[in-house]
Amino acid sequence: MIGRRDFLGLSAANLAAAMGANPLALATAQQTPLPTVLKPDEWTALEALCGILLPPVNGVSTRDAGVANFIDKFLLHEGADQLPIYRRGLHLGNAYALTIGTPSWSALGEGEQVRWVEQLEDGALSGMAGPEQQVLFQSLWFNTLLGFLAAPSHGGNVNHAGWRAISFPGHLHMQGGITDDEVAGKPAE
Amino acid sequence: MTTGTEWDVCVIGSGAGGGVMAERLSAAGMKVVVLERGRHYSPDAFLHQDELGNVIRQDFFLPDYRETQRETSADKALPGKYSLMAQTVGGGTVHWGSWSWRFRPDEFRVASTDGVVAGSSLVDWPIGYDELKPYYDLAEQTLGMSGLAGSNPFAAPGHNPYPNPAHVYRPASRLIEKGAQALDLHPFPIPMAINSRIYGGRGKCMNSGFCSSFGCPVQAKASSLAIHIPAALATGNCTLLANCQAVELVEGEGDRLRGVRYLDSEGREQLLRARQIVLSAGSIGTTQLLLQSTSSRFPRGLLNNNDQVGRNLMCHVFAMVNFEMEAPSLSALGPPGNVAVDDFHPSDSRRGFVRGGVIGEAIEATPIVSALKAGGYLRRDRRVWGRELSDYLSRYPHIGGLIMVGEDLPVADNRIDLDPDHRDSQGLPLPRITHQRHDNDIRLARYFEQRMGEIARAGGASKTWATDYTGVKTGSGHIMGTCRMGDDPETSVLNRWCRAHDISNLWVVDGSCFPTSGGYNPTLTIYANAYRVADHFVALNSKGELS
Ligand SMILES: Cc1cc2nc3c(=O)[nH]c(=O)nc-3n(C[C@H](O)[C@H](O)[C@H](O)COP(=O)(O)OP(=O)(O)OC[C@H]3O[C@@H](n4cnc5c(N)ncnc54)[C@H](O)[C@@H]3O)c2cc1C
Ligand code: SF4
Repeated sequence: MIGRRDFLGLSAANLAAAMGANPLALATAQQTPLPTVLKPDEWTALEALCGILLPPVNGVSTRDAGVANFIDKFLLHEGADQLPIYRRGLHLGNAYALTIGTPSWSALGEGEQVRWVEQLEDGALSGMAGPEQQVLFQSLWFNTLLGFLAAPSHGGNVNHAGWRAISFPGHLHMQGGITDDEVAGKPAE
Repeated sequence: MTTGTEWDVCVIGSGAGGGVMAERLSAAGMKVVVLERGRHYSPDAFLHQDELGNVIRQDFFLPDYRETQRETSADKALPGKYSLMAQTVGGGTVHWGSWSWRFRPDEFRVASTDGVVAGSSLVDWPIGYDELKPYYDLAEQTLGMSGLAGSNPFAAPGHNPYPNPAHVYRPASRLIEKGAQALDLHPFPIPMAINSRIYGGRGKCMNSGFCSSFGCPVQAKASSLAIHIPAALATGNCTLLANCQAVELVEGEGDRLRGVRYLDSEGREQLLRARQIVLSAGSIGTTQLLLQSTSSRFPRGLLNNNDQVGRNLMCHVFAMVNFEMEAPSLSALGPPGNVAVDDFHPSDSRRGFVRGGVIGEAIEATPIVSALKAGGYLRRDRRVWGRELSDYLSRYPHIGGLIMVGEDLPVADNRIDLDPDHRDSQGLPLPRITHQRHDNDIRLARYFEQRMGEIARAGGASKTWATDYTGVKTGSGHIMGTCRMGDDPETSVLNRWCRAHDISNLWVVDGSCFPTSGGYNPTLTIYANAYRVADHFVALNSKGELS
């Protein structure tokens, strides 16, 4: 299993390499907030999954921040090689819901959803190889945070929703910077 | 294709070492050409950077750079972007954090101070602090350093005043200051190469947070891009060839190089002739180029008949402690970090390790990096999601941090070589990083984690937590060693003037010449050493001793 420590390493290296530069991704993310690779049922399941991984922060949800859109654009470009894993995982979730008489993964109760994600993290769901489940979990976790907190040009953090949720002021260089007094915590005159 | 001109000097790489060499040699009247593999940005381009592009994906400064990495020679090396070193005009000085320190005198004499440490390849430098001191003075003035000279009782002696006052403390800095004082330590402002007021024709810092890992849109942050390369070009004696990657150093008659083979911005091969060649491509780039340049005289790569090129790779060891405070920390604002504590720097083997490091207010305040450290806050590796993750993110405005930059020990087997299995888009072998930490590094990091936690708690932090950074290798950005300078040609690559032992017209002036790493960020020392070498170079040239 990939430990968090390894994951920190991964995020700075292998993942970064896997997600190399792609100006097309930026362009598409800016053009459309609509699904480009994910089908409607996949998109809905993904939105619900992101909401379980990261419930609202100060009232701002991953849906408010457009995290699913960020991931959709990622899967179109940098993460295209991960699309099959996402697809298998999302279908697995929807199929699981059906087996217990619920129409889709997003319609499951929160407790059920949490238990399913725990099993995904542990690689313990049936119907998909364990290590593949763990790769999917790590990627989902990572991309949920990116979609919430990366600059809006990448398709998530819509209207700076994620930044507002954590009181991050954004790219201050573009806003003309701030004074020494403000850094020091003194109110601006 | 061969271009007709024979240049006096070809400088390869335009970072800390290359920038100074280009400026000083062209100012002395030599005709200099600078080959730089990266793009030449104008500062306004830096307004369009963001955390995902610069810090996580690294596609802004390293669009198509790759290397491989492994722990030991028994492991398979995996491709990726590990080193974070900007490939651009100005090199790593464009996106550095700019913390700038002089090494202490004992940091040039580690073998004499600490003796033999099993498993390490400790040596003394062939030069000492006194020789470098005037060049530290010069570098500090040129870079427009901000700080308070004399405020660190553990610093190297004889400091001149900094040209600019220290930056203001934010609430997180004040908590650290208070904690350190409560423990009878000596907090002081971090010396930074960032303008705290307009200086040297460059702007004052806008206090805008996205700083380390980012280029500076107003050039308040000193860099070779903002200072040395423009000064070199202004002499009229320097030509900058950006987007041009050197691929081979070409041997000439006797013990001399004839020139450099490079790929121009269109990917066409060119040959450039120069009387003297200064290699400043950074510890990895320099090694890569030397090893790529083979001949019957140097079958294992240029200067590598003693198998020393690429060895003794160092990258510092880091420790990281975050803390939560009641008031807003304002850690997302200002330049990177503001307050330091250096009381634990002097080597003391009674602590269970040799050498030491400096503690500074942490610079990692960007949102994604902070979010990725949630596991440290929750103190677990798994189930780092759900409501507790949201709760952690909501605390972002109250989080501050401390980071320790520690001296790592040189180890002969830690090295850069060429990966036989992986090639880049030009068909050239990728540089391969083999690096395993010496136990001393780990013990040092753990000791500092404890001290940093104590400081934060004594200052009133409600919670502290550590994130293990000992696994960070060249990703530290502090990449040193690989072409040691020394007096013995059997065990070093360069002499005390950073001139190759084996090739009379080749000089290596960047972080690769460091015999040991010092317990401070390295770049002021790279700058100061480059000024020293440039003076020597100009003196030899004016005596007609550089043919
Ligand atoms: C995020 C970050 C923060 C940092 N913060 C600090 C700090 O606060 N304080 C500090 O002291 N240090 C800091 N550093 C380290 C600092 O950036 C380096 O120590 C310094 O830049 C090294 O200088 P150098 O001359 O060895 O090489 P570099 O600055 O790396 O320059 C080498 C240049 O050579 C070019 N090159 C490589 N190969 C070729 C080739 N084949 N042909 C042509 N050109 C080539 C590269 O593109 C590059 O421009 C930081 C580094 C990073 C990544
Ligand atoms: S914080 Fe200051 S030094 Fe850093 S990039 Fe912004 S203006 Fe430049």
